[in-house]
Amino acid sequence: MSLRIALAAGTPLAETLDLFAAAGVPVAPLRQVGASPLQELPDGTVVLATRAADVPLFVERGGADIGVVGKEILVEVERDVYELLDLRVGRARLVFAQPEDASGAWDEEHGPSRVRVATRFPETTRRYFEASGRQVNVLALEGPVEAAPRLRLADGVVDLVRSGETLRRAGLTEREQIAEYSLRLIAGRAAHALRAAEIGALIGRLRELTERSESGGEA
Amino acid sequence: MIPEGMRDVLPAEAAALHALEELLRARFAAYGYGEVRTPALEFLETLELADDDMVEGGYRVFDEQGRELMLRTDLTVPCARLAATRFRERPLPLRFSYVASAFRSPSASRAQDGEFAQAGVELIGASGPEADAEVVALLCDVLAATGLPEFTVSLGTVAFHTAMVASLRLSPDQEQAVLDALAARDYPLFESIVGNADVDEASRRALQKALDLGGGGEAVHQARKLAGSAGMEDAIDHLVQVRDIVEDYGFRDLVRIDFGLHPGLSYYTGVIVEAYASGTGLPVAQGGRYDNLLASFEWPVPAVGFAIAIDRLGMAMEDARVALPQRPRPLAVAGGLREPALMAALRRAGLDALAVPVGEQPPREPALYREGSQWVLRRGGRIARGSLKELRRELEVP
Repeated sequence: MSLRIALAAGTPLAETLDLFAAAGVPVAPLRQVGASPLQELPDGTVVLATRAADVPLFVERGGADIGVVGKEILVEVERDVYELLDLRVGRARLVFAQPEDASGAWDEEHGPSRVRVATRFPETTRRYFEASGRQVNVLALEGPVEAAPRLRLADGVVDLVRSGETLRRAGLTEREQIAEYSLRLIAGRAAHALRAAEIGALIGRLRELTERSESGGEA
Repeated sequence: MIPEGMRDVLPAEAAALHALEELLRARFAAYGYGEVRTPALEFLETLELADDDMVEGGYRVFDEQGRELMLRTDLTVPCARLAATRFRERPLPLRFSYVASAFRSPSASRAQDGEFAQAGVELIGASGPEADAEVVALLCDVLAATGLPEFTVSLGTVAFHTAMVASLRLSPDQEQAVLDALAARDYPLFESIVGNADVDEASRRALQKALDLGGGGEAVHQARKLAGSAGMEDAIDHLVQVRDIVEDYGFRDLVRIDFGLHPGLSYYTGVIVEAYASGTGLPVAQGGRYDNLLASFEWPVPAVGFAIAIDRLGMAMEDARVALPQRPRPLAVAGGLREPALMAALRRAGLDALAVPVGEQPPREPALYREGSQWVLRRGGRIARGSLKELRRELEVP
């Protein structure tokens, strides 16, 4: 039986498709403008491109055998899946940012006693500030967060940045880097056992590609 | 109307579950495992004795004296408590089975209802590959009996992880980090810790392959290559023996060795087993050897067992469209409440009969109703008319 794959839609999708194409998965139909998010590829592989945060659930419950999703999602939502390979693409940084004119990150004397932080990653944000003993009021948003400080909803944001352009345009300055993430190949526990041969073969090819590009990048 | 994670089971599903539970009981009995029923409530202290995992998410209750009780969170600990308190003087081994509910608050990471049905066995007072193999073979037997077309039973061992980590000669901090990464099933993290540690390239490759490959002869071959310590060699030999004995029971190609398998519960000490079927992403059964659990009840004897998640197994069967034989639908008899003699005769003849109101033509088959002076029997797409006497043959149990 062919594999069923769930891919995180959005920015990292193009890099994922490049990698899968190089590994011999005929993903061309997914690149077409207006392509349906659920496709059966010429080799029988079924691919779903969906909201990144939903990929782990599809994989955990067996809706998909494997998935590709950013590590930021895997640390944010705890799901029982195998994390098999670091694809080393789709790199992004999670940062804490504040308006340029805000007085420092944490000013115990003059600043607010509890800082309000808007984010799409509430769990990770809470853990990060807790670990350094700082009190925050986490505002979990589903959509873009960069407007929150200007509209006085929050004192700062924790968000994923690639170029950093979005934050700059919103007048936000990066204060702290929380973590650096990349895309991961994940597999469901049942698929990991029942589709071991197919998944193993794909991992072998992807591992070769990621290791080659890594050593090429260093050269 | 009902607490989160609780659910009603309606007649059609209840009938299917009943058929499945009867099948499980029959297979357990075929290996001589005696069914036990333990109370839903245990002392919190009893569950805590076994393991911290056991009270996680448990529903806490107080009795009138203010003692803290908990709804059982699995059946293995109650079975161990029962064995240690009531069967100490009996010859070993003991064989128990159960089909019962356990309870834990639902949460995103637990992926199960607050009340979940489990069916399993415990083999207490026996160790060695033969004992492990009996339990694994019974699991294969049960899953095969359900008619599931595609399932697999993975065998791993706690001993392999411990010995493997020891053979890498890491610092104590690194050792803990590696074990945590394996527990989180986070292979990139695992590889980066091993990569940064002082581990030679050949071992690193063999390790990565043993984990990547999951099961089969090649994984065993790779694992042997890096088996630096006697502990690891023994762990591999033990697994291979268990698999071979299970195959001797007639369950070929169902069992695979998986060195990446990590015990979900910390009371496991040796072989661990998980079963998977398509249609559910999470295991339909889990188990393993727990040689220290009985010692928590001051009776140090070895034990091994497994628990099937009945709901997940049911889902897998539904997904594969395999159904167990169930009682046929009852014959709907119009005006049955006014025909006690007729209803009694039908039931004596072995038919399930359901009384529906007079004058209403029963909407579904099989049905028996009056049309003028005649009775009409609709059954299996056929219609027969006549007096009850004339319909007698038609009414016989098929």
